[in-house]
Amino acid sequence: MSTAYPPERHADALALAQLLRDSLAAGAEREALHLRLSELPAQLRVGPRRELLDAALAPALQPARSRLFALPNGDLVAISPRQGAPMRQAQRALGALLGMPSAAPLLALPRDTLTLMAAVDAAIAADVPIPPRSKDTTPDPAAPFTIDDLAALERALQTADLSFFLQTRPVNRLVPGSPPTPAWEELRLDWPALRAALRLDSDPATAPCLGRRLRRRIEQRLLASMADPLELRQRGPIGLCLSAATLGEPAFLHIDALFGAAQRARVVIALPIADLLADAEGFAFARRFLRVRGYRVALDCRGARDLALLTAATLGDDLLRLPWAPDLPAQAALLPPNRGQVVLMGADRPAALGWGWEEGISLFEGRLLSLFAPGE
Amino acid sequence: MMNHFNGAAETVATPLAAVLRKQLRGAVDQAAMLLPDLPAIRAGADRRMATALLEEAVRIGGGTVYRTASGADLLCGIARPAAIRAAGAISRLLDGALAPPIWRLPEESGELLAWAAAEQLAPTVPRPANGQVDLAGFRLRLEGLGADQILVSNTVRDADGQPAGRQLTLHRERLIADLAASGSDADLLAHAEDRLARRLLPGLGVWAASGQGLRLIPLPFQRLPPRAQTGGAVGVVPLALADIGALGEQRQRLRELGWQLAVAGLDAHVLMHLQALALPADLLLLRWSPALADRDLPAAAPRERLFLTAADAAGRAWAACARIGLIESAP
Repeated sequence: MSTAYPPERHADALALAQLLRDSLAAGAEREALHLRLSELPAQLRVGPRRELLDAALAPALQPARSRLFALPNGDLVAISPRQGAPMRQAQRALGALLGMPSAAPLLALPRDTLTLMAAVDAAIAADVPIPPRSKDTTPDPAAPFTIDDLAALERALQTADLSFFLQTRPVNRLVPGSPPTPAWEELRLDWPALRAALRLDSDPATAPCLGRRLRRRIEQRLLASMADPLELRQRGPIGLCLSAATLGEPAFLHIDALFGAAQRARVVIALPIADLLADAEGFAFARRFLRVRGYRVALDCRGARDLALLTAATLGDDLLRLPWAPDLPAQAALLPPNRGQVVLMGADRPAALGWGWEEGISLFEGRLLSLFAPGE
Repeated sequence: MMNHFNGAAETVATPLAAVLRKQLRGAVDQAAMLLPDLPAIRAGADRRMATALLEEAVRIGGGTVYRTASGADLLCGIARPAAIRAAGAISRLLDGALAPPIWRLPEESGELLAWAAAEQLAPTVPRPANGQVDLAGFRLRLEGLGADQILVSNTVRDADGQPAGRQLTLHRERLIADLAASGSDADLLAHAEDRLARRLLPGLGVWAASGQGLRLIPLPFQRLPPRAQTGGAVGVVPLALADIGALGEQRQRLRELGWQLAVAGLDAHVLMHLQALALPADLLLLRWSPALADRDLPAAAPRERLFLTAADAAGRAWAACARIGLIESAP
C-alpha cells in the first residue's frame, strides 16, 4: 500500500491536469486534440501504423508553446494556443487514417475542460492496480448469506490486518474563484477486494441483519488496525463512516482516547441513516456522543429517498453525505438550504461536478477534483 | 482502559462510604460528580460511551470512578474545573435531561458521605468477551426452536376500543430467553425473527388469507404471502428491514395479492427524526414508550392507519386520547 504515488507514468496526466486547472482559472483559450489510442485496435497502436498516426498528429505540435501529453492508458493529448489551422489539419489527417473522427476529437478550452478532465481521470483510474480476482471467487448473487458464513468470517477477521484493505478517497472543497483545496481524506474499506480475499461467495445483502453484524465486526477490526498512536498523529484530517452501534464498542472508544481534542475536530464521522431506522434512540445517543467529543458529524444517505424521510430538524448543523446519481438533479428540492453542509460523494463525473457547482455545493468526494488541487 | 474503576474483586459488598472516607482525607479543591443509573443510558454501548467521558475527565482532572451496586457511577477526587466540564459533557450527552450533581470537596464531604451511606460498590463482573457469540450454537438453537412456542396472538382494537382483528406475532422476550445461552445481539435477534417469520409463513399465510377483520402476520424479508381470499390480510415488516426506497412498490405487489402492508418499529425517537408517518404503508405500528406521552401526534397524522403496540395502562389511555387503534399484547 505504500508504493509511491503518483507513479512516474502519471506525470504527464498530472501535468495536463495542472494545465487545465490554470487554463480554467485564467480563462485562457486553447485547443486540444485528444487521440484516443486506448480505444483503437492493438495493431494500430504499434509499428508502421503507429508511425503514420504520429506523423498525422505532428502538425498539431508545430505552433509555438504547443505540448504533447501521454496519458497512462496510452491516449495522447496535444494542446496548443488557439491558432486554428494546424490543429484542424491534424484532426482531418487522423480522421482519414482512422476512418472515424470520434477517435480524435478537437476540444476548445476552457469550454471543454470538464470533458478533458474526465478523460484524464478515467485514464488514471484505469491504471490503478486492481487486486487480482479469479473468476471462481466472483460472488454468486443468488447465494444466501448464512450464519455459518458469518461465523467463518468472524473467525477470519479475528486475526486479519485490514489496513491492507483500507482505501482513501479525497474530499475537496471548491469555492468559486479559487482552486480546489483538500478538505479531508475518506477512509473506507475496499469491500470487493476483502470479499474476494476472504473467498466469500454469498452476498450479505441477502440477510441484512447478519450483514449489519458483519459490518460492525469489520469496523471494529479496522479501528483496531488503525489504533497506532504514532500513525494516528501523522494522519491529516480524515473521514470515517461507522455504524452507530460501533461507537460504543471498545475498539472505537480506544481510538477515541488516542485522538487528542484537536485531532477529533479534524475527524469527520458519518453515521448511516439506515441505523436511524433500526435503532433511532441508539443513533441519537451515539450522535450526541460524537458531538460532545468534538468530532465533525455527518449523516450518510443512501440516496434522495433517505433524504426525503428526514425531518427538517434532524440534520441540525451536521454534514450530509449524499451519493451522486444521475437522477439526483431531479431531487434538488430535498437538499438542505445550507448547501455548505452537503458532501457530494462519488463526484467523479463532470456531470456530478457541474450539477454540484450549480447547486452551490462546495464539498466533493472523488479523485477528479484532486487533479486540480495545487500540487504538493 | 478500565483501571480507573475500582475493581473490588476481593469483596462482594463493600460499603462505598468506607472507601470514600479514605479518599477524602487531604482533599483540597476537589469535587465528586454523580452519574445515576438512568433509563436514557441503556446498558452496553450507551453505558460505555458515558463511561468514556468519565474516564477522559479522570485523565485530565484525576480522581477515581466508582461503580455502585445500584448502577450509578461516582467520579470522586477530581479537580473542580474538570468535574464541571464532565458534568456539562454528560448533560449534553443526555440531551439536557440531567444536570449531574456535584459535591465540592472537602466542603461538602458530609453530604457526599450521607448519600453514599446506602450505597455498595458493585461486584466486579467479568467483562463480556468483546461481542463474541457462539454462532454455531446460535444457529442450532434457532433451528431447534419450536416456532409455535414463540408465537402469540394479540387483539387488534380500533380507535373506539372495539375488536377489529388479530395479530399473530413473535414473542420477543421469549425469543431472547431461548437464544440467550449462546449469546446474541440486536442484529442476530432481528435475524432470528426474520428466519422464524420465513419458517412460519406457509402456515400463517394460509391463516391470514381468509377470515374476518384485520389479520396481521410477520412478513419475512423479500417474501410474498399466498393470495388472500378476503380483505383484511396484513403483512408486517419491521422498519429496520424495510427497503424505504422500494416500500411503495412492495405495497403495490402485496395489493395485487389482496394484502395490505404494515410497517412496525416506529417509536417516539423515530418520530422525532423521521417523517415516518408519511411512509407508503397501509398501517403503521407505533411502539409505546413514556416518551410518546410528551408528544402530540401532528394534526395531519393518519390516525385511521395508526396502531399503538406494547402499551401499558398509560399507553392505552394515550391511544384513546389520540384516537388511534391499539394492539393488545396477549398476557
